[in-house]
Amino acid sequence: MSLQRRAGELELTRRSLILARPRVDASPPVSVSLIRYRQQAMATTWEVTLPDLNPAAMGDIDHAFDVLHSLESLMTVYREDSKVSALNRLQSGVETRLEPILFGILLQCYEWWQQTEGALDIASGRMIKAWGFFRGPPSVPDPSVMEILPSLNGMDKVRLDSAKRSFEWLSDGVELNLGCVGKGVAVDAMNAVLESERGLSSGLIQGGGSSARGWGGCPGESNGWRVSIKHPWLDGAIIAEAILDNMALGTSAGSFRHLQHAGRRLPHILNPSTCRPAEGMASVSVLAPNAALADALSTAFFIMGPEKALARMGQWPNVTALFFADSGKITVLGEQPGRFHVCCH
Amino acid sequence: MALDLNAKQRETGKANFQQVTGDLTRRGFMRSMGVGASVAAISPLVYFGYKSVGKPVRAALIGGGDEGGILVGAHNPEFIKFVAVADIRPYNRERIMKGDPKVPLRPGFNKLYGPEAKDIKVYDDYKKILEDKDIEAVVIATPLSTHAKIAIDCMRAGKHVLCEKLMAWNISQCKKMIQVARETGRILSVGHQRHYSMLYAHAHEILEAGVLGEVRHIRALWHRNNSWPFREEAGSAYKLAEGYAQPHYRDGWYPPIYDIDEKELKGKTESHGYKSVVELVRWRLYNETGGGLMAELGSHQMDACSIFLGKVHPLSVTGVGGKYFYGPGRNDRESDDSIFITYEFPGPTHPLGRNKGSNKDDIVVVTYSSLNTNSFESYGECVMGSRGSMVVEQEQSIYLYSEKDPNKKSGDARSTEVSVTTGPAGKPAMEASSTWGPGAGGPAVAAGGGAAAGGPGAAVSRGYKEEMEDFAYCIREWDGKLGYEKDTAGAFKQRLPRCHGEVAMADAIIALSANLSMKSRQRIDFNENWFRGDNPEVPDKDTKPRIDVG
Ligand SMILES: NC(=O)c1ccc[n+]([C@@H]2O[C@H](COP(=O)([O-])OP(=O)(O)OC[C@H]3O[C@@H](n4cnc5c(N)ncnc54)[C@H](O)[C@@H]3O)[C@@H](O)[C@H]2O)c1
Repeated sequence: MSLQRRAGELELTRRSLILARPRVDASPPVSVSLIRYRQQAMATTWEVTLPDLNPAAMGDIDHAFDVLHSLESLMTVYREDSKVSALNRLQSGVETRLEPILFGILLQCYEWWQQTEGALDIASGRMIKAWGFFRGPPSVPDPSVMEILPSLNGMDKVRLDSAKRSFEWLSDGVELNLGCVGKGVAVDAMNAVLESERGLSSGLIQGGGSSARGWGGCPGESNGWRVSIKHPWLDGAIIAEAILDNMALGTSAGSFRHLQHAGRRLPHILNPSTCRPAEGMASVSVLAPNAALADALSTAFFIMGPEKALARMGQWPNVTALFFADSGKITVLGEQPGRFHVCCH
Repeated sequence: MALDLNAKQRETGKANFQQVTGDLTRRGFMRSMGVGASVAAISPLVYFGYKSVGKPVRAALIGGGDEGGILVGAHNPEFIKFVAVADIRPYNRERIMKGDPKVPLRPGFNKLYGPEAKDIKVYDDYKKILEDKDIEAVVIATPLSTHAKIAIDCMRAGKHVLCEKLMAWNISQCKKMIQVARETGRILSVGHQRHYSMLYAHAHEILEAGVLGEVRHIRALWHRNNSWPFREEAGSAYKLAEGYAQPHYRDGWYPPIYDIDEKELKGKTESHGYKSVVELVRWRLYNETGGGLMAELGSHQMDACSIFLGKVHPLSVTGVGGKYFYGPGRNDRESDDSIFITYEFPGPTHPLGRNKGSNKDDIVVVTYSSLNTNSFESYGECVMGSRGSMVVEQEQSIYLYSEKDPNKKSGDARSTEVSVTTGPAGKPAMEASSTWGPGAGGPAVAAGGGAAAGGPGAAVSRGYKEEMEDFAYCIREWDGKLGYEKDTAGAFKQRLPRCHGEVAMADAIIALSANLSMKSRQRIDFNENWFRGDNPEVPDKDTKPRIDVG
């Protein structure tokens, strides 16, 4: 296996990818044991992995999962009684005071919306519903609906007042959907519980495989946690590996939920500027200092593609992104492209 | 075990499966590992306390059948170098060299040793190995009835012995093996590989830490379905022998008789201790050559259960079993096809338990079943405690589940599933992929919880490799200096293989007493003298072995 790497960019053809298989190692393999704690939340499996030499007290793990569940109850649009659902029912012109956590999340998303020129847009709930990605089945909206959708998107429809910690709609009919950042936010919060609050020296947290954050070391690695990134359409194949060393990974791919339209498979990730599925990318993974940013940027970069992303990369220190295009072409952007170990022949 | 089939069962009660906190667990882990609190990779080598050897031990394999092939595939040539192999059957003499094309775990010597494989001496009688002064040790993987005789002959010829389980056909033979090992100063190790499985080591740690609360029941089982019609393998290089009952059902215990064996061995098996070629090939089916389901499968799992309970001896056994399924023309046999066994074991505070307490009511009931007619549950052991359950499945995965605490509100709708995965280092700990919205795919590692830490497909070592490595290490450590002296606490002063004669004999007693109970339809109370290598009392003094050990 030869590793092709040069600063800035990496190109590979689709055929050069290999199927993941156990590495053949001449030295006697060192065995590693990990304790994995799992729960279901946000309609997917969450996992905290710890080296089994320093297992956590069950109470610590419970607490981390409790934080996850309370964030879900705060952010979900799948339950009427969540805070975000309540905001979505709010009329324009009515100011509401928010709890610090939610306000912080919305403010952060506002900044990302600006930084990504609208690609990362949590005020895109209506567009997501119109395409049937909310409760399904996915379908292309009627032209009449398509016409009004652009006016129902965008964080410019929201006013956030930091002094009063308040939220207000500037226009009616717009809805929030935090799907593109929620997992990352929760991963970071769980990380704070386990690492900062409870003082666990090492662990890996992940939500649904798309959002992950590792701190400390995994046994058998010199530092950090080794993770692999699945090939978007080849079963069992991986496209790259990365080490999460106080680092988070977010992945957005069009492979799981897609829509068949006019003979084409369209990814579920919608571009707020066209209100249509983003095209060109099959999978984008982002390494960033925290999971919310990694999550947000993987979505934004999926929509923007590598060219547009390159122009904006400077805004986020310590971010590396791997783009896997529909054509199979791989591009790695960021100051340290070597953080992704791309697998190829 | 049933738990991997029923997703609902994974959804039991929220955490608090453990009052015993991580601190306790941490101490538990660290004690036996002998390392600091830092995150460190633990190799089986460090964990089990052996080291690499300078020169590999020159060994011979006696019996190159199914298990011999597995052992060859698992051995590490840095510890053991096979220089000879002996087998009666020409079919297996060929197969041990060429490998088993359908079974990657049996690669064969040609593949493993390359051109050097031709230096391996291939004998049709193990006696030739006794004379070969170049051979330091033997690995015995022959039918049960031969273990004692071959092991004793080899030790007397100066060879160290790693013998497959069950140790011997009856307990007198086990005692004789222990005695000869002592007289000759040879290492005697027996192939209950769970003693060298990191997975079982961890299961033991978890139990020791008290994570499961009060354990009252362990349920172990190995169910297989051998009731499907036999089909002759298309394109097999070997012809079935004529004039023999060939398999009616697919059943590993009732393999076909091949022409190649029949031609060479017909009428010549008596001197090796088999009445016929059929008895040689299908030795598991007959009472005088095999030991039935308890010897073949149950002994491993009772070994595991006694590891869980701190290697204590059971108090009693009661069994029911019989040949209920097979019959004339349909893979007929002497051995039972269905067995159901119940043991009483001493719990930690019982006078005979791990902590030698005074509570006679501290009993753990262990049940074991093995069938040939249903494979709904995969094989394994489930330890049931007042605070949680631990399932060890197929020597590959451990699952922990907490009991639901009715006093704790938060425990309602959710559950934490806990599993320990063991695998080679340097593998990704997770696979990243996209998920979005409801119903999106989950993480690869979550599937069944059984994936090794190494991510998809990395298998956990079952212990064969480590068992052979430690055998080699002990040989290098003690060759010529082995005294088998015990300290005042009754432990051997020199570090022996983990499943040495006395440990293995206990496993044989546990397995064979179940057979006695089923046969006599009576409960059997265990006698501590049976377990002493130097005490002549045995549970089965009326049994007559086919092969006299001399
Ligand atoms: N540890 C485990 O998990 C495990 C698993 C399977 C079998 N075993 C044990 O391994 C042993 C062998 O089982 P198997 O499945 O390989 O049986 P098998 O019938 O496939 O192989 C036995 C081999 O021994 C040969 N043999 C018989 N008598 C001999 C003699 N006197 N000298 C030389 N060779 C002789 C036979 O020709 C045959 O090739 C048994 O004791 C069994 O209990 C252990």
